Parts: sequence; C-alpha cells; structure tokens
Amino acid sequence: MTLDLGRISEAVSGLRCRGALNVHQRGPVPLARYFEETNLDHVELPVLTVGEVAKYLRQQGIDANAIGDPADVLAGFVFTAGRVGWAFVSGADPVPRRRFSAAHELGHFLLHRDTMGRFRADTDATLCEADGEVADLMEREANRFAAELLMPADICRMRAVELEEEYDCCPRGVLAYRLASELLVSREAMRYRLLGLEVGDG
Amino acid sequence: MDDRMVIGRFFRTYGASGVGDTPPQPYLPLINDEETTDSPDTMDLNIEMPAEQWAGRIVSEAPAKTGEHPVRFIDGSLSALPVLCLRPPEGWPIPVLVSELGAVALRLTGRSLIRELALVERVLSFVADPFPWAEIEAFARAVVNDAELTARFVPANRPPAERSPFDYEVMRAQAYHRCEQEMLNAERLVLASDSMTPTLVDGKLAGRIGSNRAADRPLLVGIVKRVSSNLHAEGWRTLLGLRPGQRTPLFRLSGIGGGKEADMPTASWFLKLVGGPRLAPNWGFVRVDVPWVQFERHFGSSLGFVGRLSRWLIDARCRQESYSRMPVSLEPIVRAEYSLKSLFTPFGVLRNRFLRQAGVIGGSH
Repeated sequence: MTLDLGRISEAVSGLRCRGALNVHQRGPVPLARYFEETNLDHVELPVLTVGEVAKYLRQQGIDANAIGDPADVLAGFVFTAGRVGWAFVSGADPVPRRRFSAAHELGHFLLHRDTMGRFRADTDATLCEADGEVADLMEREANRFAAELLMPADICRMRAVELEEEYDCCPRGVLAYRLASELLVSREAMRYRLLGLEVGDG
Repeated sequence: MDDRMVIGRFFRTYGASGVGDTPPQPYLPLINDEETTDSPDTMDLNIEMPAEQWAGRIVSEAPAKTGEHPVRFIDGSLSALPVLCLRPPEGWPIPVLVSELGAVALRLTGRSLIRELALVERVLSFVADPFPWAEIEAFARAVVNDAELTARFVPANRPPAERSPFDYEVMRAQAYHRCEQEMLNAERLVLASDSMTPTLVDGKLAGRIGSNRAADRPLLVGIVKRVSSNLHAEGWRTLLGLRPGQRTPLFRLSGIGGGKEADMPTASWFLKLVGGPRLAPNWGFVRVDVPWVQFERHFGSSLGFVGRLSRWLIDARCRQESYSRMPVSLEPIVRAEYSLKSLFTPFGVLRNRFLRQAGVIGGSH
C-alpha cells in the first residue's frame, strides 16, 4: 500500500490556504492556529496513558469507555466526537516532539476521521518523526502529514538558498540544525526531511 | 496580537523577574547531551612506536612546506548571561539567557591576518519543555519576527532526571550548553564556506566535519586544549615530561563527536608550546588533530610532515603575557577571538534593550 501523497498535500494546503505561507517570515509554523481552525482541541497530559485520556474525556462529559487498557502508555491519541475532537500529547516529551505528535494527531483527524472510528491511539512505534519503519498506512500518512505541515518544503528550500547566497555553501547538517530550532522540530526529523527533499549538500 | 505583546504576555504569565550575573560556578557537564558530552576516544597508541616505549620527540627546525601549514583560522565565541527568571507551574526557576555568538575566519595574507568571514547571531535560550508547546510556538514566532530584538529563540531541553530541576544552576547550564551548540554550528558553517584553503580550527575536528569531506580538501588541523584522561601511564609520563618544542609520539584517535563515535578518526599528538618553572606541568601543551584520511593520503603518513607542522605551530604560539590562556594558544586564534568579540554588542546594552522590548522594564506593556 502506498501513501496518497496528493491527499496529504491537499490537506496541508487546505490548512494553509487561510493564511498563505510566507517563506520570508521566520519561526515555527502556527500549528496552534491550525488546531483552532479545525475544531480540534490540543491537550497535554503529564502522563499519557489510556486511563488518563479516559479520565480527561469523562471530565468533559464524554463517554470514553472501551478505548483500551487504562495502563497502556501512549505517544499520542486523538478522539473525535462528530466535527470536533481532542488531540492528546505527552507533556513529558520535549517541545519539538510534542508538536510533531500533535501534528500527527491532526493528520489523523483530517485524513482518517471517516475510517478510523472514534479514536486512534499512537505509541512510540507508530509515531515516527524520522525514518522509522511503520507498517500501518494510516500511521505513515499521519507522519508524512506532520512532516509536510511542520517543515514546509518551500521554507526548507528558501533557507538553503539564503545560506548558499550568504556563505557560498549549504551543508545539510548545518541547515538541519538551524531549521530545527527555527521550526521547533527535532534535528533528526529535520535531517530526514532535508534528505527527502534533497536540499543541502550531503 | 502584536509580537511584542505576545512576548510580554508570556513573561507576565510566568512571573518573569530580572536576575543579575551568575557567580562563578563549578563546571557542570551535561548528561546525555548529544553535542557536548566528552566521551573518551578510542586510541591506538602504537602508531609511531609501541605504547610502552613512548618518549618525548624533539620537533625539528625544518620549516613547513606550502600546503603543510594552515593559512585560514577559525574560532567561535559566545557571550551568554541570564537576564530574567521564569517560574512555570512546577515552581522551577528557569533563567532566560540572552546571548550573542558567532564564528570567524581569518586569513593569513603575507604577514597580516585579515578577517575574511564573520557570523554573529543573537539568540535567546531557556529550558522550554515545562511550558505548553502552543505558548512556546507563539513566543518563538514573536521573538524571531521582532525587528528590534533581532534574535532567534533556541529551546533547551529539560535537564535529565539525574539533575534537580529546582537547581537554578542546572537550568542555567542547560541553556548555556544550548547556546554553545549554536556556536559550534556557526563554526561548522564557517569551516564549510571555504574548502580550498588549508585551515586550522580551534577545537576538535570530530563533530565539525566528516572524513569524506576532509579527504577532498587541503590540510585541516584541530587544536584541542582540554586533555582527556584516558591516556596510558607511559603516555602521561611522556606528556608531563615534555619540554617546549617537544611532542609525544603520534597516535590515532577514533574521534568522538555528538557524544558518539564520529566519522573523523585523526592522527593526533600532544605538542608542548611553552614551559618553564612558572607553569604547572599539565599546562602549556595542546593536542594537534589532523584527519587520518589526510595524514595517510595527502601526506603519505609522513612523520616529517608531523614535525614540520609542529614547528609551524610552535612558531605561531601566542606570546602575549597578558592573555590568560597564552600558554595553550596560537596567535592567529587569539586574534580571531578578538576580531569576533569586537563585533559583539556590549552586554549591558543588550540586556537593557531586551528587558525594554520584553516589557519588563520601562515598557508600556
């Protein structure tokens, strides 16, 4: 099964269409704003387990039975209720990882809402920022969505051009390092993204 | 919302208060940090002679040939101090560091050292993990797009579990080390900007460049001041017994960069620059690193080259008594450091500008 890249790009473009991406503006992409626009709440729990998620949902008046073993540890979780939903990430993760997890759950919400049922639970094995081998197509699509959303190709290419113009070189490692801090993503995810885009000198 | 309002609101939400300089602290190495951990290198000590027969080698007077000595010199510098302290809900004190950092390349032209390239950046750093990601995201966007701050936000990770997050110094060190990593990255960029000139870098090569790239460029030399303790007993005896103008036998280092073995084995040796009764025995020498791939392919594993490069380095040693690290410094690197620091904004000015822009003093926010 291959990724539906067109659908992923369409979903990312759909989010950006209200505020066109300005490659000259610096800083991380406004992920929180995208959440607001899609009626998806993002929640950080200090310990992310099925039990803690269920507890939170019950506090919101949501019937959260049968979402799994309460002791199961999660890397991310998305729960839908009609047109709205909640994306859960672990507050114990570093900020870049939390943003990637949140974007991954947003990907599920936009791409798989009709097929995934009421929720989708992610573990470290399914939520890969870089080149992890994930068997499940939905997980791969959500990972790809997160990468395209948080690390826009146009920004990566523009920063490479800027570096090349100013310093006559564009080492991929240096570019990855600078872009990772600008876009608030992990260095590993950034390196992998640049490799995929063939941006920067290897 | 206006960028400056976002910054001011973030600081108000987390009870930002001004802080002064940190008193001198013992060195606090990071645990499990990918850039700065000093893992021991694997050493092959039997390259020039068997390890148990090590003895000091006198550096010959033969001058270095063209291509056997550096003409480009790279150094980095960092000025980073805490200006604010934040209090997340957990009550941890989180200092906000304002920093200017950069790297510079000087070129030897005739008898002059000319500043060829300089990169100076202003960054703001603190441990960001205790805060909600959405607030950090908004803060980072606001900082980088504020035309007057002209700074980048670089988030430092939460300290490892072995360290107490209530320790102010732990939090300060996390942010400081993060700034150091940015400086190292600036040095990497300056190094990559000219791959056609024999170059000397202040620091080790591992983590700055890989063997493949080193193979395609002319001489590259790293000068390391800090000595790891994994030398064998005869090695220590030889090292501590060196006289000025002597070196240890050559050895092969695996090259540790980013806390793990990097693709940069080096031909290395210790070189005594200065000595005498006014210096401690463990002072006055540096480690010289040359990429192994260059030592083998460009210089034919020649010990004559090692001697000639050593002689050039001894002649280039710093002779300014007023410079505190004179015994372990080379004049071009000292000049590079001065050259770079002259581009930095005085810290008091930087601090006040930041506090005003952040709405902590004298602002209307």
